Amino acid sequence: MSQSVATYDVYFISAQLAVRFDGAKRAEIHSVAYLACLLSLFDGKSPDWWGYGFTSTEAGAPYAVALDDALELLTASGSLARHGQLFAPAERGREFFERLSTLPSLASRQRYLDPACGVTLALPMPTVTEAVVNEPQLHTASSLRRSRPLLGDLGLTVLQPHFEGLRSAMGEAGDDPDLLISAIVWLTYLLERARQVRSDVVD
Amino acid sequence: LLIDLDAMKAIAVQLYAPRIGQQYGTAGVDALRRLLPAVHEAHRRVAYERLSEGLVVFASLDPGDAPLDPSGSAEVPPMELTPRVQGAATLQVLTDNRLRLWPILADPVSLAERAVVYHFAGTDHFVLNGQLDAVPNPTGFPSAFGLPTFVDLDDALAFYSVNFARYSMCEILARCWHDDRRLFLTNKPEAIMRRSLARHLRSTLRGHELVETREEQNVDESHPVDIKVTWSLSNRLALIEVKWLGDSVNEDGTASQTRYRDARAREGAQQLSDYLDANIARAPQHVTQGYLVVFDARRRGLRQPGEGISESDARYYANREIEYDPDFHQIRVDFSPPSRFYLEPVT
Repeated sequence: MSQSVATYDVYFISAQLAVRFDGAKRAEIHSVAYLACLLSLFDGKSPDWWGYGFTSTEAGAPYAVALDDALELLTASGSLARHGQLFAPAERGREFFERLSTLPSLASRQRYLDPACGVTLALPMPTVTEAVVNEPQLHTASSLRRSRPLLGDLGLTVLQPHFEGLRSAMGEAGDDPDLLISAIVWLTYLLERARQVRSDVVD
Repeated sequence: LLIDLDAMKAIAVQLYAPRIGQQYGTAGVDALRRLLPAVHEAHRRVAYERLSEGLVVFASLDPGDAPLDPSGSAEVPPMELTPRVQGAATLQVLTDNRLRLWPILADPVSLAERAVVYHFAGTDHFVLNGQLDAVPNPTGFPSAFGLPTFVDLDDALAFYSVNFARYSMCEILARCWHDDRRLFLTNKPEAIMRRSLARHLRSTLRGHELVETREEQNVDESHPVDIKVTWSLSNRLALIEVKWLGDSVNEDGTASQTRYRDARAREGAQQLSDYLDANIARAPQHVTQGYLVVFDARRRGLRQPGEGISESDARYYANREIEYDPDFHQIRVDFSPPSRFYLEPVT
C-alpha cells in the first residue's frame, strides 16, 4: 500500500512541477508531499490515511523513505527522467500514471496533492520548502538537531493549535475551508514569522 | 513555538487569495486556480520591459463566459506570448492551457464584475471589491509571480550580478549609494549588500532550507561569515563571504579614509579559506563550499562627495578583474571561483 501511494505521489508532484518549473528536486518532492499530508490532517484525516510516514532529518527537513524508494523505482524503470538534479515524467511513465489515477484510493489524494503543488504558483516556489521547515514540528526538530518521527501524538498536539488558528482565521469559510487558500495563508504566516525572527536579529 | 493568531488573521483579511474566496465564493476560488498558472506563464514568458503599458489576466467566474468582445483577439498557447506581447496585453484564461490574447489593456476593474482579475502595472495587483489591491512581494523582482528559479547557487549568483547588482536594480541594494551618480557608497554598506543578496537567494534558490545572514550564525566567534545556505535533504552547506570595494562616506557624509581596493578582496579570500578550515572542525558531516562575492564599486580619482569625475574614471575598473594570490579556488576544491559584482556608475 505505502509503495503504491508513494509512487503515485512522486509521479504527481514531479508532473506538476515539471509543467511549471522544468521538474522537481528530490527535496521538493518530500516537502510538497509532506505539505499535502498536513493538508489531509487539517481536513480531518488521520495520519494513517496518508499511507506512509515522515520523519524529520537532523536539519529539520521532512523525509519519507517510501518517497525515496518510489523515486528510485520510477527512475530505474524509465517512468521518470532525471535532468541534473530535477526529476520529470518520461513518456513511458504517462500511461502507467494514467492507470494509477483511475484507482479511487489514489485519486482521492488529489484533493491534497493538488493544493500542495498549487501553492508553488501563489508563493515564490523556493520559499515553499522554506515555509514547510518552519511548521512547528520541524522547527522543533531543527532546533534540537535530532531526527525524529513526525505526526505522532506529540506532533499532532503541536500542530493542532495551528490548524485551529487557521480555521478561525479563515472566518466564515472555516467550517469547510478551501485547501489551496488555507495552504497559502498558513505558509505565508510561517514565512512571515521566520522573517520576523530574522529581522529581530538582522535589523 | 506559540501561534500568533492575530498575525494569522491579519493575513487572512489582507491577502488576495482568501479575499477572493470571501468576495466571490467557490466560483472565485475555482477561477483563481485557473488564473494562477496563466499569470505564472505570462511572467515567465514575457519580460517586464515588454509590459510597459501593463498586463491584465482574468479568469471568468463562469468558465464559459466571454466578458470581452473577441474581435482583435487571438487564441494562443502560452509559448506564443513571448513574440506576441509588446507593450500591453489582456489575457483571458481558456480551457486546455490556452489563452485569448488582446494586444491592448482592458479595464481591470470593470472586468472584475464577471471574473477574477490580475493586473500588472510595474507591480502586482488583484481587483478586490472594485479596487486595485497591491500584492505583497517579498522578492527583488517587479512581480512575485513566475520568477526565475535556480537549482545551482552559481547560477543564482550570476543572475543576481547581471540583473540586480550591475545597475543597482534591487531596491534594497540601491540604498547602498550615497549619491545619485553611484560614485560613493554609503557608510557601512555591507549589511545592505548582504540583505539584498540573501533575499534574492531566498526567492530563487530551489530546495533551500535556510538562507541565514551573518548575525544568526558564526563559523567561530571571531570570524563570522556573511551568508550561510543549507539545503533540504542534503549535507551540502554554502558559506558566502561578502566584501565590497570602493569609496564610502562617513556618517556625516564626508569621504571616509577607508578606500577598499583589490587587497580587500584578497583579504576576504584569506578569511573565507580560514572559515572553511574552521568549519571542517565544526561541521564535519557537511560538504561545505565557500563563495567569495565582491561588490565592486571602485572608481578612479574620487576625492569628496559632490565633486564629479569623468565618465572614463567612473568606469575605469569596469573590466579590471582582481588578481588573487594565493588563488584559493585553484588550490582547494571547496573554494569556488570568486564572483565580482561590478556596480555601474550613472554616466
